[in-house]
Amino acid sequence: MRILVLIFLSATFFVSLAVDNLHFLYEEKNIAFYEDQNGFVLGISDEIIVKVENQKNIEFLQERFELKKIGQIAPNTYLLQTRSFIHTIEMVQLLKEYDYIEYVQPNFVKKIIYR
Amino acid sequence: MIKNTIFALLLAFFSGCSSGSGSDGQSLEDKNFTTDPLFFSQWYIYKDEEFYAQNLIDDNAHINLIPMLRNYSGKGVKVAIIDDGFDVDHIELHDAIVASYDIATNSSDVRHSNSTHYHGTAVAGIIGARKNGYGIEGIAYDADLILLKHTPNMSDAQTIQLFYKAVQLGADVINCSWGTGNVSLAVKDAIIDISTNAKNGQGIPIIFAVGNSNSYIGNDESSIDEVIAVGSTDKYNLRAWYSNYGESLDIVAPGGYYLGITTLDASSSDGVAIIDEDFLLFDDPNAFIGSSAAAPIVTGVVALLLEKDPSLSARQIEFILQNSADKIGSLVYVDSRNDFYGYGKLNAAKALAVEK
Repeated sequence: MRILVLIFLSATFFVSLAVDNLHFLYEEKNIAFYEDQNGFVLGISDEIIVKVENQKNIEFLQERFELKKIGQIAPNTYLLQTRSFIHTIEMVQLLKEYDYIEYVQPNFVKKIIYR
Repeated sequence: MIKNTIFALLLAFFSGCSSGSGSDGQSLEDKNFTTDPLFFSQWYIYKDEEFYAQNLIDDNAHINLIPMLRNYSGKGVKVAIIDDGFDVDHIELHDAIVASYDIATNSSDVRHSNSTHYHGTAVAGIIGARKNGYGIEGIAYDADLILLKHTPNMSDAQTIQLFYKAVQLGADVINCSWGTGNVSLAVKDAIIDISTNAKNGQGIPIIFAVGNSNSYIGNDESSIDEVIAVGSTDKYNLRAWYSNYGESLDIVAPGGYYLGITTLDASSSDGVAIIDEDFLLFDDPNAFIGSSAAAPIVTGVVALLLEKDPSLSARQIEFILQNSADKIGSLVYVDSRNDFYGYGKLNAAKALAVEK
């Protein structure tokens, strides 16, 4: 059963990635690294960033999707932890359906380019 | 002779225009206004006739700061710099630092992680190297520096936290000589919030370097409308060939090519300088060149603007910089701008002469 769930999640995962034009590169320390359509490398961990409308709280989301709140990082903006990094894209797609969420995205890891 | 007379007239004009400036008789012939021995080689802010002639530098390659040097020094202005680490013991910097924070260790230790790192120190020197008779002068040599260290691989949440840390530490302006080329919604949202709403709605100007790949700016941090996006010029007072371009480019400033931007290196045996262990000289084989150098030149001038008028909003500062820039190069400016020079090249004297 567990394997079936994993297969299902992985399938969802890659369908989602196709939508976002990300190409899997490698995995390291529970961060999956992808290349986007412009050649930039993005890391996706088990963390997501969610911004909710003013006065809205995220308790419902936490309970409904078993998300752990890591902290608030900006006004109405929260850093949340999913069960595993393999759930991150799926979770982002699910949360996008909620009207009171202004945006949701993985907490991308990126390489800083000095100029 | 005619040239000197015209310059003297212009100098008097700008001194007269500037609020509270007052003429003190300073002229280009009067080199006593500085005791810093490397100042002559800071071609981006000062035209030393001999140095310019020897290095075949265009007469207008500098940012026209000299008429204002004695009037504004960035005193009382807090400049935040987000970069790879800093030589906090450098004799040119250690008196300037008022706060620091390292996102990776959640501590105030922002020293370079690697002995060959230098980038943050070089950027900080352009902005705030002290006027102390030792080496160079920063554009805002009395400004207070807030040093924020990031990591080579940053999560968006860490980037956002660093920006808000700068706000928490009292930053009046933020310099970013870096980018990812791939800014996300959350980072963009935070940058817009800070540049628009921080300081009780005044907004904090955020200056970004546009990059050095001679390519379209794209979805970079510097493409955000609310930031001041800075490209590079060279010693010929033209766009440096490597400087990125696009509709979000606001302004250009010296970033060097053929000649580097004289600034600090991590001192002693650290850093990358070959000629002078404490400084990256204009002719060092590892000279500091790029939009990373151009951005802090603009940031330094923003610090002077904020010293002159602390009530200026981020939007007003952007407007002043855009509308006081010199239209250099041969490309046509449509509605005052084009994609390779933005609104033109930074002119500090003109910017400081603008009244709100």
